[in-house]
Amino acid sequence: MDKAQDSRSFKFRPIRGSLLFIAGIVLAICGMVGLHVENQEPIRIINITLELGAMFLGYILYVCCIMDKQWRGPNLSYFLLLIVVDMLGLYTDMIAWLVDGRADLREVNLWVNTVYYCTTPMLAYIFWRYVITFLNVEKERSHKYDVAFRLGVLVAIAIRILNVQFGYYFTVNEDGVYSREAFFPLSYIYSVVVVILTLILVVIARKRFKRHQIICIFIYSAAPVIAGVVSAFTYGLSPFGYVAMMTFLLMYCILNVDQGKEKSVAESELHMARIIQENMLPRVFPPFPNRHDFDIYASMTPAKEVGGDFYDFYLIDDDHIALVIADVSGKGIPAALYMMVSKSLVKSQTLVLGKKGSTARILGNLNDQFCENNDLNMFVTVWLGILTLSTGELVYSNAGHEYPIFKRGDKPFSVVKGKNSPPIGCIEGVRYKEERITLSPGDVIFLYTDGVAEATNRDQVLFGMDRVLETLNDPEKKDRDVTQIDSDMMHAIDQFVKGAPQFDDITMLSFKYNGGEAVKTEDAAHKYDEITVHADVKALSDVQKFVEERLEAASCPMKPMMQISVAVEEIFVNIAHYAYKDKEEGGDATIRVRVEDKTAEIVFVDSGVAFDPLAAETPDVTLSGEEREIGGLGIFMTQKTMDDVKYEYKDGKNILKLKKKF
Amino acid sequence: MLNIKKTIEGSKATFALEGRLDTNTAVELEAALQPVTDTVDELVFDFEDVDYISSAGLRVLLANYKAFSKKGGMKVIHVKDMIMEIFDVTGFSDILTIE
Repeated sequence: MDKAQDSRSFKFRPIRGSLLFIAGIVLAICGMVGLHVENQEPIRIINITLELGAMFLGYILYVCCIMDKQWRGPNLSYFLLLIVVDMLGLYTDMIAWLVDGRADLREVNLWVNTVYYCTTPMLAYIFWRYVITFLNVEKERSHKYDVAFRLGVLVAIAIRILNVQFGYYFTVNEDGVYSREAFFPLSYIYSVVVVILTLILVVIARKRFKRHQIICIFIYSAAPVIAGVVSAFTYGLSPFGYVAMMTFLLMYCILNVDQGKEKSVAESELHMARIIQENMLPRVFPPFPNRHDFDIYASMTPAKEVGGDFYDFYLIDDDHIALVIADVSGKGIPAALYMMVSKSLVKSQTLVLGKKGSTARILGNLNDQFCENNDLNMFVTVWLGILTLSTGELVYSNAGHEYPIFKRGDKPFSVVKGKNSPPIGCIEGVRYKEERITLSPGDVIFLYTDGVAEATNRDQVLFGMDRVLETLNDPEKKDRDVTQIDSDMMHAIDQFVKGAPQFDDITMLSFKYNGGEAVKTEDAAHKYDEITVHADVKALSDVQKFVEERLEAASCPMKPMMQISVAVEEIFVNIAHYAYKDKEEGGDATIRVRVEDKTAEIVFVDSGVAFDPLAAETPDVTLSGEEREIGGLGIFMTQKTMDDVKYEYKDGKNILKLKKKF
Repeated sequence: MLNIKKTIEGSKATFALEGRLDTNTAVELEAALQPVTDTVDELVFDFEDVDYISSAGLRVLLANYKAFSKKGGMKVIHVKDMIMEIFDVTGFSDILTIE
């Protein structure tokens, strides 16, 4: 609310101010013409002209100050007040000169002079306020002076009003002629004291200024004082008003433009950081124009500050695509740096480990790397998914990130609250969880960061997940492509916030799975004979019979046949014992056999827990019987007797291949 | 498919096996061995008609080898070449007493 009012008054202020100032200047010119400025002495005409010029200057300065975006708060208000009060001084002084010597306008002369006299202590007091707000001096220390000065300015004004009656500073006689009286110099006492004390304050707080700023402030204060002194001894010139205005102009130029320069340097550096960061993200869409099995679109709409959101996607190989969306804690340069590092680490880990299909393992590794040197306690929320394009199988892990939104089949978009793990960089050694689902052609994944749901309008209402889902499920916009999903969401957010400032990056990634053609890998080829059995040792003899029949048909000699049989047993028993250990109902195993050119190839496929039996420790065959542990012996035998044993985890399946020449 | 022929002569038990000693039949063998392991001192496996052994069978051999090494010992006799090769590969030929 404050902000809204602020910006509204910000809009009207220059207009209001302008009207006021222009009216004042027009009035002054009318006065000059109406009161026959041409009849005045040349020195007075010069003086009046200078005053009119200073008024113009004041007007321009006033508008400039209001337009200056870098300058806000009480400091600006006091500065504007200085200009306005000085304008008043200039104005009244000008009128005073014009009406001087006109008996019929004696009263006017008396009062405008009184007002003019009042502006001097007011300016001094406002200058003091301006300096303390500029310095942000602690209130307690300056407070007692402030009370005294405020009291002083009231007393000074009261004394000036009493002067109308008693005439100790100045008088206007029956003929309307103004003349100074005996105590005239005393009218400067207050101003001089306040300015001197202000300067002392500046000297005390000199560390907060640059050297040239201190010199400037001294000149600022000295110039009007000197002008005042000069005008005290010369009659016909009253330079105080316009000298003060010139000073304000200088003050504005040097003190505040200087400040602005520093700010703008910092801002342009931030801006460059922002651009570098944005360029890190893949931004050419469609990214893989030759691929028709999926569509992808992503966007990041940065908040004013540099943030830590990022999205990423890449093909690990022809059949696997990785999708990443992440949000680094915090803002500014630290978050930006972390974002860069995280993005690279996620990518390198995914490219190395992605084929094995375990996103949990990737995030685990990442987490350990992050925890190693994390003095700043930064953390990253990451959603990482790896999709097997041929089968639609999606493996994903969520490290503290927003839940993904899926549109599956005919069902609407909905938030899928899966198993979440802590963000990367929080706790070392966390075991990340992973989820597996199988996408069907037409399914859509919508990933986003908190900036989407937390976009806020002027009434501090959040956009919210309900509106996110509402937008995604807009009944009039079914079957949109991913680009439209993104732009519709952005549009909905824009409509909602209605120009309220954006505090967080808005990052979205939309992915549509169009279905993969069945990829013909060598395993899937028809050349293999295949048997699928329940993975249980009871099925062992069936499996062995199936294999042996094919070996016999190819007239395989007894010895290699037995070796192959042993190997088949070892592998199959292994699957039967371990692959579906976590499932009570167990699962299936498929065995494919191909015998060609006196070479037998046997492939075992199961969709149980990922386990590479070849990675198991090799038994030490040199140990004596008493020391011997029997585990791993079967695999060891297999490796010894077969010509080639290969393991791979692919599309959520353990695939083990044996090869034996006979 | 494993035929087990058990002969006990005094403190020596002989198990003549015929067929395949695999994951499933190893269980049968273990069951057959159980009553004698505590009553005899010496154990002999006749492998004359064994033409297949997997790690499950080796496991049974190893377990009994350990049990009988403190008593009269265990030996395997009439081992075929094919089986012998498996004993060699796995290092069992160095452990077991094979005749």
